Amino acid sequence: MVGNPPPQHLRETPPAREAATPSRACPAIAVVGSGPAGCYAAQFLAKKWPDSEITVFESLPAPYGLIRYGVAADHQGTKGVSRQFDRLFTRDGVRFAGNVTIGRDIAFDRLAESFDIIVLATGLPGDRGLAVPCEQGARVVGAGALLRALNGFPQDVLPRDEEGRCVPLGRRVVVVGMGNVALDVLRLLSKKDFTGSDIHDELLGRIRPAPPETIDVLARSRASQSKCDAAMLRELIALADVDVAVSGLTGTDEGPVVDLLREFAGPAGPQDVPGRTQVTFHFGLVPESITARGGATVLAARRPDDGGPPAEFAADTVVTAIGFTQGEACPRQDWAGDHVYRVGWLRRGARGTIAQNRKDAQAVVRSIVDDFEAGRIGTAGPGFRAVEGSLAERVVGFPDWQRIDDVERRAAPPGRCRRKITEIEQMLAIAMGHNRKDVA
Amino acid sequence: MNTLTILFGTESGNAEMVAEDVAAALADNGIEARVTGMEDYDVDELGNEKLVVLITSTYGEGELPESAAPFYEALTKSEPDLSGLRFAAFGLGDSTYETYNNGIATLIATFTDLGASQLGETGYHDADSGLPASDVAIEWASTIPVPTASV
Repeated sequence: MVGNPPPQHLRETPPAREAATPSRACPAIAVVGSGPAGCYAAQFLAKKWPDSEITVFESLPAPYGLIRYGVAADHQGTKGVSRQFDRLFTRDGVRFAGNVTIGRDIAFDRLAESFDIIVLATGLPGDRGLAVPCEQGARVVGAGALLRALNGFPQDVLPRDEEGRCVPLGRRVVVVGMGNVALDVLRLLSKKDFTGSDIHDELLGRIRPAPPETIDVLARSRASQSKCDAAMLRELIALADVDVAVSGLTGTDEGPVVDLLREFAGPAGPQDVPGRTQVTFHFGLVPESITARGGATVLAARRPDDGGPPAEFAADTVVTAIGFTQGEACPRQDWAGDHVYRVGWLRRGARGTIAQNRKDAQAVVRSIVDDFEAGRIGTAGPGFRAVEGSLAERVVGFPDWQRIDDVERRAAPPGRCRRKITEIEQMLAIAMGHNRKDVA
Repeated sequence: MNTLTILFGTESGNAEMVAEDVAAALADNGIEARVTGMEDYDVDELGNEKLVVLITSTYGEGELPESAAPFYEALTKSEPDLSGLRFAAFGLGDSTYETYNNGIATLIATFTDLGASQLGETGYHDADSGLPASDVAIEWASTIPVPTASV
């Protein structure tokens, strides 16, 4: 749910459900954001009220938010959850209203007066920054921005040269953080075989002409407190493309992550196989500063109980993977009211997997149902028809998206399941039903 | 009326979708199936069932989904005699991970230990295969020799 596409006129309107009857038994519902939290909320709401009018608004012409642009391109199994959500729009009568940004294309107040229930599910698309002094000229990239770019997100925000081309991340990379997102970064930068994925190959080739020789991973916490899933770490360790070393393990560390890493304790050995990436995990190191020195970006970090000089890591690029924030995206704080709910990461912070956010959606829908049954929510809202007139020219409906989806799948190069379209103009042209020969 | 019960355990909702789709496919073949989440199912009811279909995913380090855990615990605690019960089993997993399909294996072992007999082969869906789970499950269900006549 980020992105700021240019205005575009589409002639096609989405297939409407039967017009709402004047006196309905069910509320008219708007979900803002089509990522997992929004789609799960729509799913539970549609199950509770099969006859309700539900519209899922999305800024981009393509649905599914984090599933399409956050889940790593080589984790297609995880992305498969979108098959459930396809049914919302193809079978269960939920309307997809893509290419519509609340707050720009419709004022929030207008939305709030048109629908009985508003569910905000815009996620946390911004990378949390590292709260240390950072010298101008240092090259620091957020993990979310990196993963989005490798997922073919329409507006990547990676560092560029004077000619506007993405610059390579370099031979030496430092990753700050030890959650699943950090592991995605490690795997995508060191892995060579992306068979079956829909990774953005051109961008990967530009930012990683060859895998880094070294990646140093800095974790503030001890190994026992690592936030990553052991299964994700196991996947990385099993790659033929990486050698692993670990510093900062203590004798009292325990748990599944520690069990996996214990055998690699000690400094990195000499690099004996060219083309492999030496990944070294450093636990218990707190970053202090980032400076630009002699063309390198230098991260200084220290063990809290260590009085000596800080350890320095010279890198071509520092990637931060320490969580997400709202960034500059909607919604504003005053997007609130008795019938306005928040769900998923927007509500609970950037914690938990897709499945855990399903439970959150379930809980939020339960409280919506309670409010409805207690009479705190009405059924008087006119719903989508009240805003349709001002949006009809730009709305990308689900059949329109399916045309984009079809073109992307058919354009997949050998060994890839899809080739994403990264230009919004081009997505909109396909959504309108022309321009097919230009891309297929 | 002798209806079949499909019990699903899910974390992401995929196994629930598969359970509903298998039920719809069975209905097309004249077999009535009731779909229930394991979290909403009382294990005491198993004594009244003739045939259940178990559909579950695997999570974390090979565990059953959280929604299936109470069902599993109730089974291992009350140890009902399931010798009159037949069951079919389908697992959803991701071969990217080592614990691929541990969840369904746990349930099969438990049902077998309690005397139930398995009907047909265990079905599997590998999320990494890119195939739609429901297509694989419906194909699998067609190989299960479900008795069509009511007893």
